Amino acid sequence: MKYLLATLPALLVIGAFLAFAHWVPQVGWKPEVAAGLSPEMTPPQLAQVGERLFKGRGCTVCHVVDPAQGWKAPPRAPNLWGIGARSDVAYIVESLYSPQAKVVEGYAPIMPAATNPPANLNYEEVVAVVNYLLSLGGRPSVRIGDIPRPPGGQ
Amino acid sequence: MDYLELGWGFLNSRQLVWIAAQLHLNFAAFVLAVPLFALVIEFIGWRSRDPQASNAYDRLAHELTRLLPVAYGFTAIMGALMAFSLFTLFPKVMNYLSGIFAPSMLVYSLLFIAESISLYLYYYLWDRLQGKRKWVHMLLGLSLNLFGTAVMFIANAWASFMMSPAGVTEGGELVNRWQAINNRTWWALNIHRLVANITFGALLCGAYAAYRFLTSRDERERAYYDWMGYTGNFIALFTMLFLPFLGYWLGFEIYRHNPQMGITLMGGFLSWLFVLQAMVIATLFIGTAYYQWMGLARVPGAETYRRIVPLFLVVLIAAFAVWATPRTMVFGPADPPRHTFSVVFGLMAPKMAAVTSVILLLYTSWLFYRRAGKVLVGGGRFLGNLVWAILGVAAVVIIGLSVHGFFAPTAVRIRESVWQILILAGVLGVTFVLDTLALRGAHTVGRIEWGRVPARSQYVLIALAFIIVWLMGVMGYARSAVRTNWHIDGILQDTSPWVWLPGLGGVANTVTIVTLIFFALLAVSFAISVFSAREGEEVPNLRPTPAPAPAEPRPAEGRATLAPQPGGGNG
Repeated sequence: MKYLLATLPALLVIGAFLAFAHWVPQVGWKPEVAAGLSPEMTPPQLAQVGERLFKGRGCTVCHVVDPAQGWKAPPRAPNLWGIGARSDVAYIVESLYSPQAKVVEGYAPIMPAATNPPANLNYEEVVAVVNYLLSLGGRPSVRIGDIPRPPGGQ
Repeated sequence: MDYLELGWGFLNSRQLVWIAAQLHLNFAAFVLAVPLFALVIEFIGWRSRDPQASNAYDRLAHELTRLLPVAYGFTAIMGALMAFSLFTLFPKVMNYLSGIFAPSMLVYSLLFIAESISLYLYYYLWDRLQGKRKWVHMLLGLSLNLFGTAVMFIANAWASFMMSPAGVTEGGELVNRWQAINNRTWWALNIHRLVANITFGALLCGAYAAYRFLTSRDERERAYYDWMGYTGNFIALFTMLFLPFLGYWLGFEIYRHNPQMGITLMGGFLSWLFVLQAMVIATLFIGTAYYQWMGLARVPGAETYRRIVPLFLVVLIAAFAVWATPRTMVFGPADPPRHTFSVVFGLMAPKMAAVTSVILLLYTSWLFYRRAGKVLVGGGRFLGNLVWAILGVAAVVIIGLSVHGFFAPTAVRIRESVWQILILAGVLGVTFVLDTLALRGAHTVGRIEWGRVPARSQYVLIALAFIIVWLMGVMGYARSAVRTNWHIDGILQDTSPWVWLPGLGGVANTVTIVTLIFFALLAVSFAISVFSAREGEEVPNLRPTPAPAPAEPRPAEGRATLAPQPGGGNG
């Protein structure tokens, strides 16, 4: 018994850590899987899937979508709110396939291709994300097959 | 078959591997660390000219080694359970890793056998290899450490490859095996684990000593185990000072390998975990410092220093609050990272000020302990005051650089952070030498009285052991979770049903279960160690000798050294 009592303060400290861990927001993580993307889907439907992929495949680690901030306000990567108004489809597609081709001034070239880890998007998923980005200040307008496949092809 | 699905409620395939791996790592850390400082302590005893000190150090090293054989058995059992679970439940991953690392796995096995032989020879030949043959025993200890460290480095190559693969094509085909081993995070992980293991082992030995202290009724034993606990805590505190920088190095290499991974770790969905780990580390540092401060009670005449302790505590807590503040936080599964109140304290400059202040403060605490019960005389008094002045100026300069760096461009801030580290290291080195010179010829007015320490200090030692085991579990999870849905980053995707990552509460539950299992098994190991003690074996006598009258101070005996002095000066 005396051995167990000696551990009581230690168990209380560990209990406090455990309580804190349960008290904070329970932010788990699950990879977003986009099942059933087909050429019949309309651009707005694809944009809805694209939003889920955008939030679930790690894009928000660096980017934000926040109308309250300027587009170059965030520290790691541009705010994508309004990108549909200020950029065309070709620029967005290039930014996803070859993000180092044009880097916004003031930011480090840290973005990997969206078809590489961690996002690891396939072609259909890229189309969905492009539509979502176009919907941020513009109108989604791209169908599967309208844009080129990624270099190397997936 | 990619995966074998196991599901018994809480215990699914992933949980089983997670628990077995963490238990294996905990025991492995213990059996790697203890021989390292047991050998150093044995060496100090071997070279000591004072027979009492020599005997005390040798006995301490032997008692530490006595904890190893059973713990080593548990390490092997947990390692086998982990390997068995991995090869049966995750065959795709293990087949791939075996293909890349097969030769190193063979070397690992051979080194493990060599380590086992060295350990048992080192332990069982302790009494036979004394006197003139002591050097043979030291060689055995050295080989044990070399084999053990090599075993860890090889296993680290596999773990670090999963995080930052190299030497393979984009499709995962092996191109260069050495590059796969010597990947981006390998050395950072090696050194971080090596030092952290020593902290880990030292705190566990401290907890063992605390148990023995609390359960002993014999004054002589209590004095001995108080000294043993102090030694463990001292080693832990010393090595802990390096860990923030080694952790930063590992984080830096992770970021260099994959910036998204680094951001996920510090500012993505793991940001709350990093707040938690900062809290746990803060508790560890503050607990260690608190134990040191309570140790001042052992030294008559240390009241002057004890009065400053509350101020130190406030500064430590404030510094850790800054350190624990992340730059961005995530508040929900689909929420992007946001800036909060952390805009100021989340930046690098305030964190540098916080970490360097903590290190300066802990070092100063140690100097207090070293100076306690001593009166500096002559030139020593000047040197002693010079030490305080240098430390004060260094604190102002380091914090001043952080304030300047906060408003400066990134390149300037990074350059200044390097200067902060250099100034800190230089100041520690210079003041250590000056303090050693100052203590030469100092009058001892209060000699250290081992065993004269509040019982709550021993509860702190036990709590510190639980905290570091819990912390290691949390950090082990972070290192794996940062790969998100990749077994091997960018090479081999996790397509198992357990690809999701739990919230922090779920993580803490598993880590707590692992911690409790580990301590239950460790208690068995410690109990067997106590039972295996020789009948009638007495501990060295470290009880206080009568202090000289203050009116007639006598010179301190011997030089003040970094290591604690059994029955003598303050380490």
